[in-house]
Amino acid sequence: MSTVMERAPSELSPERAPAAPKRSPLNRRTILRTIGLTVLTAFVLTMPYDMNWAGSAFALDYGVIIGMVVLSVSVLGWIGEFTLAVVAQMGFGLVVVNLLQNAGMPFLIIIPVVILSSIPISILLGVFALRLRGVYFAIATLAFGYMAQKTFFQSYLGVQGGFGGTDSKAISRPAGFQGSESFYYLLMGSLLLMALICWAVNKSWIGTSLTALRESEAAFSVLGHSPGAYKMFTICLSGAIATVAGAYFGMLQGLVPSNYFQPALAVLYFGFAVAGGMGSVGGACVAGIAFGAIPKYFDSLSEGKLVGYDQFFIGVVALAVVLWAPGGFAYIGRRIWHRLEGSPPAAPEVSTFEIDVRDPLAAAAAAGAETPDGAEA
Amino acid sequence: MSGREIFSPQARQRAARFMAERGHAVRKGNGGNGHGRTLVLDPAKLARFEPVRHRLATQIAEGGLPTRRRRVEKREILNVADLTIHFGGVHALDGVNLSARTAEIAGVIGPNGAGKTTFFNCLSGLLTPDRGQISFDGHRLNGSPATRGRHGLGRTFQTPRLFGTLSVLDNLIFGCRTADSARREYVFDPGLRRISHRERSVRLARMVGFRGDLAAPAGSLPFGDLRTVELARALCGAPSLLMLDEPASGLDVGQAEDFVGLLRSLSDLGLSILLIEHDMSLVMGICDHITVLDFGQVIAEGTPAEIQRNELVIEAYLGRAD
Repeated sequence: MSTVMERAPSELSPERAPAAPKRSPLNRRTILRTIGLTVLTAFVLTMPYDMNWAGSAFALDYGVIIGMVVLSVSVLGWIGEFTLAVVAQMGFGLVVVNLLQNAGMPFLIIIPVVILSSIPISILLGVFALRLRGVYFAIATLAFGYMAQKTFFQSYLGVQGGFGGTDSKAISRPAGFQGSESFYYLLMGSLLLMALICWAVNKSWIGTSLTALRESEAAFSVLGHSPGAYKMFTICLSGAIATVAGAYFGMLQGLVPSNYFQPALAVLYFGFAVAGGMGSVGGACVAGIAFGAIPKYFDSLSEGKLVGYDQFFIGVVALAVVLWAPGGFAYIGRRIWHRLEGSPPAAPEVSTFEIDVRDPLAAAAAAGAETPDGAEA
Repeated sequence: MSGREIFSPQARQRAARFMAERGHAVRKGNGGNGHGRTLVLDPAKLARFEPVRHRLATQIAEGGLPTRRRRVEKREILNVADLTIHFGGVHALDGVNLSARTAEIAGVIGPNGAGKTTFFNCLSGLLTPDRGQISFDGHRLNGSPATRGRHGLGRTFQTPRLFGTLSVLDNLIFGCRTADSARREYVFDPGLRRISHRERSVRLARMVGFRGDLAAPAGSLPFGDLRTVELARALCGAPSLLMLDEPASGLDVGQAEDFVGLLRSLSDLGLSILLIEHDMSLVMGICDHITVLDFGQVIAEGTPAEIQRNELVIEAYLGRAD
């Protein structure tokens, strides 16, 4: 007999529903899914060449890396938090790649080591998360980012990147992925793998537990589940993604000066995550790629005349998305999909961020002022 | 059938006969359960057996709690000594002493602001007291709320705190997972440990009187059902001591009557219950022992009859006639 633990919670329904009438395998939903998957696969595979008219595939490479960073921010939405330390975590990934390449390590060793190297930093941030919530946690991560930039990155990367600016040695791309087009496939493969892992985690019991934790930490803990363990796991997952993104960023750029790792950049990535749909895996990837690559293509198309306006473009689009669909790209995608399928529209998935804004009690709780039913104390 | 064993040999035979009558393959074999030869379904047809098992489980669950009375040894399970906590200049709890025994219902009452919920929060670890000792089941109670939950301290909240976007069933399974991972026995029905999380959840939900859709999101339930599901979720965690914070508020008359009967049955079966409630008739009718708090201090304790005659209690609730 299979037990409940072996099945996804969504499959569980107490009373078995009456047998549904047999449907043809070629129903509308199946056809649409097949077509959608085919078109998406073709688009992903040919994108560097499809976009040749707008500029080099470098823009797309950059966009995919930003997609990873935004995914790492979005993942933290599962526990109702947001981090501004992703840029610092990217920087650490870049430094680790630099060191390992100088030590002559092959690419297949470098990436697992980069993932492992993210754990100590994530645990450090996790300690903050155990004590602080919401805005307070975000400010703590921002402070961490500033400390890392002002002390470690400035002395290590200098103004040119590499070792203190005196012995600048560019980070190289792995063999076989030297060109922007070929590097795109490596990046996109990595992003899809990360997205798949995040999706699987979110659909498993861990994801269900994280939902429960986000909804009521007090109830979650008195039921015998440790919020700290789940928070730490999520922060480590998010940190690993950001650190790998930093490693790839180093490979893309070669030399990255320390001033790139300005912590304020993390605020921008947080904005992308909100526009993508905080907590959504697909929405984060799409938002990251779009907001990362499109401004680069604009720069290329305008021959540099729009360079100063990319942030403006990003800001306007992100605000428009959030105003029109508070659930972000993820909600827009679901709505379009349901319309195509002819099924009833999905309710917008209200992210914790939205709850913070709209519900003063939830905002107070997120800010750490949760009174565990102590109103009458 | 005793009403306690969903998978008793008789139940298996009946289910197998049911399947055989409908033309499904059934073979004879040893169930491997130490009860001798029983009819066992062909593994290939096991999936078709599911609805029958559920029907049986539901039928048994509809019957409510096990009816057989067990001899329950009464002993002290909780001892609180000198519990003190203050928020700024407010002494929410000031040297509170309290004890609870197995198979008894202890009530904690007091006017608004007396510190009852703070007392629960200190017990469950959501607040850290400034001073005092808590002994639970012979051990000093320390650690996080999660650790205490795993040691058998279950609770509900004044405002129900279900996981709104999860289904009712998933909420209940959360409790079952704790029970299994902490290897806890259900003191009120040891048989529950042997059935799956899903069946256990269904059974406990029906036991507390929840008749709604277990697949519905918990956030869509009416208030009364939120209360009952939260109680079922706490029971799923196999607590030794169940702390209920105003569990009857929001329940209609019928639900409240069923609820009183349920608590009494659970207590008779060995579960210790600590109850905060404003409904005095309920408290006086159900509790074996009552502690009265006022301004964070214990002003009286005793049996319901003693509490009803206590001048200090009357004064705390009604005020002094000057």
